[in-house]
Amino acid sequence: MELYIGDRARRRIFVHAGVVGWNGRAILVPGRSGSGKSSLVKALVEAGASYYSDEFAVLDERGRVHPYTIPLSIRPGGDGAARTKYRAEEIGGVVGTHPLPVGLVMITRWVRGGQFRPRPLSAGRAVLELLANTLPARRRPERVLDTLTQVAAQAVVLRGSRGEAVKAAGQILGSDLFRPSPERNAATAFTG
Amino acid sequence: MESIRPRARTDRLVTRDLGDELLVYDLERHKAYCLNHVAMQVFRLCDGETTIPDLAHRIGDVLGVPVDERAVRLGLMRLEKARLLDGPVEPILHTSRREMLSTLGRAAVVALPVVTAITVPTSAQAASGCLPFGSPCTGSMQCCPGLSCNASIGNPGLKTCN
Repeated sequence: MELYIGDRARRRIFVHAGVVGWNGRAILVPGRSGSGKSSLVKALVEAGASYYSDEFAVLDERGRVHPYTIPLSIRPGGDGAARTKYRAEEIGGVVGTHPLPVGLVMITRWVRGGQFRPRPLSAGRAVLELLANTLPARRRPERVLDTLTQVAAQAVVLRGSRGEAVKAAGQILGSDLFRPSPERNAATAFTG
Repeated sequence: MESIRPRARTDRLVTRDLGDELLVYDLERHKAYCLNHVAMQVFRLCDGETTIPDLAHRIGDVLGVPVDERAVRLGLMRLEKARLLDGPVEPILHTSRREMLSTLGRAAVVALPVVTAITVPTSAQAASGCLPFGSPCTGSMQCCPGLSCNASIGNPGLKTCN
């Protein structure tokens, strides 16, 4: 049923991604199976971000993301382990209620012992990364490209592996990207 | 070589201009490409009437930096591989990126054409998060059912789902 809706929704574009809200902006975490997307979303929520989704970024024609607040589904023991479901309130989080513009797209996967030093992607490469996770991409390519192009134009898009989710979440929420600084620089937000 | 006048394909393509990059969606093959600023100019200026030396001059004028003909040939080779050129193209002198850098030095990096490609997933593949056929991978568990992560034919250093 979710697949059908995600593929055929007329006014929304469904991207397979986790989403949280922070300082009036959405953080998207597109993710393939086993990338650690849900663990990072859980860590972001536990660190104070509002929960929007563990499964789909639901985008409108303006590139804003709407809540899709099904319970988080985590594999505590990693790949092959049984999934545990959490409501955001059960982990001390709050649920987002309003659509948000996308501020950050974080393309990352867990690597044992990994250092979190993501680098910015160009807008074009960012669209390809999002397109690879977009449900109606083949059915409505023009509409999808328009929406993803808007997202890539308004958001910083970073890519890089990470270590433990709790540490990465703290770095993301505390980074210069979310401070009202004119010197905000995506290339250096996670260095040093 | 002077007689080659390549033409960019226009049929069954959707494009989006991002300023210094071009997105191209191939409706026939469900592949999407990101052309960097050099590849974008090669693609745009391939009108079926312009020779490769003239392409190099025109692209250089647009970019404001000298563009070597070998860079244009590299771009054409990459566009041809992506099936973004119209019709069969006469054998283009194949120049690899390594050869370009060794003969021209690091300055050539500025004017190198880059074409990044993905296979656009079906809705089921996108929802499951698995990688479709032809996608780069590091392990078979990333690939969609029925596929495994293996070295690419012709490029043993690259593993793809196949």
